[in-house]
Amino acid sequence: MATFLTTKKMPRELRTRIEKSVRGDATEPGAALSARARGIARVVVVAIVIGLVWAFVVAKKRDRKSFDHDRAALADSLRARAAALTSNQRDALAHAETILMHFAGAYDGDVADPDALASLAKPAMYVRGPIDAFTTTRRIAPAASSSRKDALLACLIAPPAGRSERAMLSSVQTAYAGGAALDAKTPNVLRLDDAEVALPFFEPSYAARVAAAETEGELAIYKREIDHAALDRGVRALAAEVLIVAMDEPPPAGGVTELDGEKPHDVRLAIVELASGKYSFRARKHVDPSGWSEAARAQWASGLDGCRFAEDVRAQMTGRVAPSASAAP
Amino acid sequence: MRDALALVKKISFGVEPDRALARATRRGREAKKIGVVARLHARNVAPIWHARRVASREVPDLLYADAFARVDLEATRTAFALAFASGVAGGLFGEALDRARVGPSTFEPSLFAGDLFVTTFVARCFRMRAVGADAPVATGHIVNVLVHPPSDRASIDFRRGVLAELVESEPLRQSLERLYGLLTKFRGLLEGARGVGKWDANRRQLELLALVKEIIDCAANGFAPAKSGLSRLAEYGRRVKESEPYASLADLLRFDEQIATLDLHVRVGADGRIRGFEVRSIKENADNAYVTSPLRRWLSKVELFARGFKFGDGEIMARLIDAVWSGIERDVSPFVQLLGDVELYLGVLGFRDFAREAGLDVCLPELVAPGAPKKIEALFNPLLLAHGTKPVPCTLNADRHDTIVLLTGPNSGGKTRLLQSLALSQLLAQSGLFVPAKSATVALVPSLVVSLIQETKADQAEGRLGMELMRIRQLFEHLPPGAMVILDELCSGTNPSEGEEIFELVVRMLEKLEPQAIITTHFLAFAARLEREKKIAALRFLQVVLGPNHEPTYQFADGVAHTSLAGHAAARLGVTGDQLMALIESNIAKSKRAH
Repeated sequence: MATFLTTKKMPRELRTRIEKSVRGDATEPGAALSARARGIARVVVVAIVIGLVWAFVVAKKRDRKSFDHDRAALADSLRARAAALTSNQRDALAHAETILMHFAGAYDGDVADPDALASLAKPAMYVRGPIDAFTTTRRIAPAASSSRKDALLACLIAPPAGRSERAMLSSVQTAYAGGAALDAKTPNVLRLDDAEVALPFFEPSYAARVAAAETEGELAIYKREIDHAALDRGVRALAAEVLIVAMDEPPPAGGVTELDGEKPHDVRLAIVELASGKYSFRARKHVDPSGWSEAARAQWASGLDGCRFAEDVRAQMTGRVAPSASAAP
Repeated sequence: MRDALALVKKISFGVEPDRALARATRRGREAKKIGVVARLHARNVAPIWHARRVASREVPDLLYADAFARVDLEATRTAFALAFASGVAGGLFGEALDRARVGPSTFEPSLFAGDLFVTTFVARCFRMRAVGADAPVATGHIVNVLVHPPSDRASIDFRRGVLAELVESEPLRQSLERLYGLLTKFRGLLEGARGVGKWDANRRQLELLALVKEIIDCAANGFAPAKSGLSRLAEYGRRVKESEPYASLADLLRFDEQIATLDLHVRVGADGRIRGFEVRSIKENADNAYVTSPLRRWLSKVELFARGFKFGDGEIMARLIDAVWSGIERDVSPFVQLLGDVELYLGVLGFRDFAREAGLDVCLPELVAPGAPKKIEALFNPLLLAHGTKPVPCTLNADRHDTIVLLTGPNSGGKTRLLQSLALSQLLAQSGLFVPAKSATVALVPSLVVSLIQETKADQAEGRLGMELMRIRQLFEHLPPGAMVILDELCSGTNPSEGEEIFELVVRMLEKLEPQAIITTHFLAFAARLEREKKIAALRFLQVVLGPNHEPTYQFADGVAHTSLAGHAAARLGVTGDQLMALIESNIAKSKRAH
């Protein structure tokens, strides 16, 4: 039995004794294992440890490969989507913001192109908010974030069966419920916020950040952000041809405030072609919830005002009603 | 302790010595952990194993002409292996020497050892010179050798030859003292008495191996010129030095000392400070059998780890040490016996030095036939010397040795001391050692019976006379022809007329055994009658010589004393009528005052 401890220079007897010394062949009194069994146990333990390390390294490599693949796929996907955007789409948000800031300024009077009604069927972005929220680009994004599809939009795109409170209330309730039913009523309209949220993901820098992700956790955060951003909706929003914007002017001081916060005030609405900046429609009307029944006003005053405002706008578009007297400049 | 014994039994029972030894070696470190001491092992294994007879040439026996192993070498080898590994073996040497056998002897120690105070004599007179003085002397072993004088003349002459050569050659004595110093150092380190290497077993074991080498070198080189039995040391040393285990041992020690040579140049600046080092060359000691490449050393560590040992350079060295030790241990186990033998000779030489410092002399007596004239010059009692009293030497002459001498004289005249001196001289001469005399003739005897002290014992069944008679009976039960008989004040426990009868009977019976007998007595008239009648041919008469004022001179001359001078002794010790009366009057006066 050879051992590394012996050398050829050693006498044979010494080699034999060294071999005997390193050989553990008997269970020693008081010891649970003999030296040989201890050695075997150690080899097994070392083999297990090496196996575990090897398995760990292989798993890490596999994970790394998978991670690299996922990261590249995600970055490529972002780059592909960004590449698919047209220049109009890229500029759509900037145009929208310019329009919004302009519209939030001094009111330039009503406009009603004949094809304004037809514009409502085009792919559109919608935003509504207090007029003060649109005076600077910094304020627009928060305003867009808090703006949802509402009764005004619902009634504008899909007018109620009549102008009675009962008929409008049905549309208002559908708008308040939101979700698929409201989207079904306004399929061509997306929120300005969808574009606001999505556009940064199409910037080259974002794809570069994703490509530089080092850990699974980091990549998971990017994936979560992208999923949360609903990029498909963003792309569709950026592809909008028209911008539908409603701005609530500050209500006069005093007066009655409904339980949902609605007060009599003026509302501006514009339908603008994003590419050209041309106003297809522009109107300014007064809304007043006092005309609604007590029961409806307590809960639906804002929605009913919005719906009636939309009805008024559509009427103005179709010429059935003359420009509202409430639309005082 | 229970654990320790269990371990010893597990190691020992039911296995062959070699296998048990291998186990014991491996178990050394564990033995240390649970406090097993190797002497326990030695104690238990001796009866278990059938000690293997070792060829006499393997043991450098310094006491017997026909060399043999008096210590159980197998048990010692196992005990050494345990002690070597564990470093705990307190008393291993001492116990092994105490149990050591002696050669054939016709002497029965119980018949003389107690009355001669042999243990006291050895403990006080066998003084080591300088080297090894701090080591515990195995008095028990020396006494055991002394009270069992060899029955063969060759062994006596063998010892006399060794002593004569040691006296004649100071270098040989110095070599023996150096050997003794090395052996005691080895003993101290092996038994853990020195605490060296307590935390580094390898270092301690290497130091032990270095001592083994030194001892073997000392034996081989220091006694090369010896012509006497000391030449066995040289023969033993040469034999071991020529063997493979010694070469492996020497290589290992060189490996430990010098694995490589580094040629280092140091640059020193003008201010005397070291500015830099430059390694010019590194040369491995490639000739050494233990030197391997760094890769091989690393692989060795891995191998040892896989075999159940620790991972480290220390474990490699431990395996090499183990292999070297297992090779040399057979040659190391005689160290115990050797230490005992060397201690005896140095003790005897110390006795000689001690006597000479006191202005006395010792000698190797001339061994003669019993019928040859007896001449002892300047005989002294070593027990007196041992107790700080300078003895007065005396000279004795007789026409032959095999006589019955009646020794008479006053009390405190030195009779008992003379008996002790003669008996000790006989014992020492029979052991081949120096006798306490400037010159002497001694006729060897087959036995020695000494009866000097008759103490009263609490459980004795007889009165003083009864005890005397029992003593006489025992004497004849054990006495072979030609023995030496030393009796002090025979039959002093009864009335003189009846005592004399028994005395004469004893003397007549003794004559038939032709002993060398010396008997003291205060039956002066009886002795004088025997001298006058000359009916017993072997009888001789010796008396204490008194000075001009009847004071003892501690010298002896032919004849029978006329008085025991009891009156003188009484006066010297304050037992005269006037002195006793003065004491009585003093006591009466004290009593009156007390009342």
